[in-house]
Amino acid sequence: MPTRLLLALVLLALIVLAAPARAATPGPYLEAEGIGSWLNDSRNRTAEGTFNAEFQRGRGWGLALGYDLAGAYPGIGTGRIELEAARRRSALKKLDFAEGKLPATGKVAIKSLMCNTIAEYHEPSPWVPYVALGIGYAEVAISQISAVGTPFIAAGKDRVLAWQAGGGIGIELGDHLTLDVGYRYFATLQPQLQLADGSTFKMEIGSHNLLLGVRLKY
Amino acid sequence: MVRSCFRLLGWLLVVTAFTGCGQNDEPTRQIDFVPLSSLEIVSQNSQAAAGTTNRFTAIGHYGNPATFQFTRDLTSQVTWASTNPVVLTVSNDPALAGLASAGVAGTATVTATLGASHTDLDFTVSAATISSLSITPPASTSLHAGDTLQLQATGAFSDGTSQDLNEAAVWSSSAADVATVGDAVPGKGLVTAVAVGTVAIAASFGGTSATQAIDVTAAALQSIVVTAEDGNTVAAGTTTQLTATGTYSDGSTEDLTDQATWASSLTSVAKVDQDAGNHGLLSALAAGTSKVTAALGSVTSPGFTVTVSSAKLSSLAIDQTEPTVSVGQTLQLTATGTFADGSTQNLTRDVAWSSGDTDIATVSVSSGNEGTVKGIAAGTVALSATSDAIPTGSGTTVTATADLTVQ
Repeated sequence: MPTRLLLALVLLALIVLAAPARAATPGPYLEAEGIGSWLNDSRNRTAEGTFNAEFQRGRGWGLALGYDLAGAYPGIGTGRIELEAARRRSALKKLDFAEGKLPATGKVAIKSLMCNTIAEYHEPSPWVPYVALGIGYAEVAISQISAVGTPFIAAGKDRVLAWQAGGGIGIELGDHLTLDVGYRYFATLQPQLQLADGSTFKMEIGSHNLLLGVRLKY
Repeated sequence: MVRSCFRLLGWLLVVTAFTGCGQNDEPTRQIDFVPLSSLEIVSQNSQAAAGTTNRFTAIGHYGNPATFQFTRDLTSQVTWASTNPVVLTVSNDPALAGLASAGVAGTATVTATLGASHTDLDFTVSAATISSLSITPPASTSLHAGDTLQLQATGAFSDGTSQDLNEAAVWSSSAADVATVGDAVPGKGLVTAVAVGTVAIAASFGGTSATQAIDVTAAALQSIVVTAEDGNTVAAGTTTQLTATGTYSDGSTEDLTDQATWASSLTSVAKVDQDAGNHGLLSALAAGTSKVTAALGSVTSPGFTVTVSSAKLSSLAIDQTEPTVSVGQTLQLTATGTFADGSTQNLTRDVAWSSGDTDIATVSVSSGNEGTVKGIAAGTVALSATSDAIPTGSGTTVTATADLTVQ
């Protein structure tokens, strides 16, 4: 049986078997996430003009340590705060220059550490929709990127401010276990990286991310 | 804090939708890291007659067909050379790069070199002589003053070949005050129409010549631009003068306000007067936006957006604080209104002018001459400007006064 189909069936079973609604209680939690990432085509600025980069679909993982406020702090609201570490990696597909597009090889990896606030909407059901907003720091690292076999971008990395926003649904599977299905738009300020000839360029980073996570609350 | 997250997130998603998703403008950087794989020389003619010229172009091929390939014109970057300069010389002057002069009959090999890459092309200079010369376009041509036209000289030779002689021919004009023609590279054969008249443009080479008659007509209107005396925004109940300025093919400009046909896209908001004496006078009728155009012949201006505000008049002032005029002389007064939104506007045409004593001075209320005072006899008289039909914040009319001294 194909892995994706198996995963879909497991997800369906978990949703069907979701626990009935129960009163939320405050407490710490740990969440592990799998991430599917789609980096936007990026416009990159060099001293000699701009070039664009196209990426393949990427993937990554995340780990969040947080605190569920539940209804304990009505002045603040119902929701969670968390510290989330994540890593996403995408392979380059093409580089686009004035003369045309060249097939390219190389990878972009983004490590991030984000402070997130999550506002939840509790209904008398095990489904908990939420929206999330986060700000933090990201390290954008690129491997050597070559086009038609010739190095164009040198391996390097830069640290920049990052932000993300999104939403999703938490499916309560038990007193301590929640399945998290969500979307995040993740972007950073423009990291400064180096071309193979030693000159620098600024890269745009923005991505759409789908995540599937399991949250364990203590 | 958490609740406000919803609101902030909404804004961020909207901003992201408009700015962040898949932004990918046309790239401007050229590929400079793919090595040149080969050079190619392209010749304008397969051979050239002695005494003529021939253009060579160097084309660089980059990459390889299996992955990615593109070409670039390297004519001005390569170094040109000829193995037989008596037969053929090729210029390396940046403005003339690749232009070869054929000396005497024979063969020569032309080479183009760029770094470690080079290529060559065998080229023959024939002993053929010119039989006839022609200029294209062949029919009589008409140009507007300011227009340009590139003429082409082609020679037919004794061996049956024909050749572009634009650069080898000598170009001349029979009347340079009507039209000029370029006789230096680059620009040989380029005719520039100067003024109305008829001119013969001649090309000559090797004892043969050809002429081309050109009629130069008046400069053609190319574009019209509309401007407003009081800017883009005017208050409802007021008027403002629009001006249509035409630009012609010879670069000259002309005020076309009186000749243009005016149109407003929303006449319930603003209409433009077509009557003699008031051409281009815009009346702001009601709050809103309208696009105004001016057209003459087949040329129409881009839409000039006029915003009519609902601001009410707060105060009115006559700009000249202590106006003085001599007996028998005239003086133009100006009334400026200040509106509730802080904007100001020239209301000279819109206010009702009056003189306290017409035996000392009169003030014109006729269309186009509003606010013009004329001294009749020595003395001092109070002049007034009243808001009349202009909507005011107080609901009553607003008046400005000034004491005029007639000397």
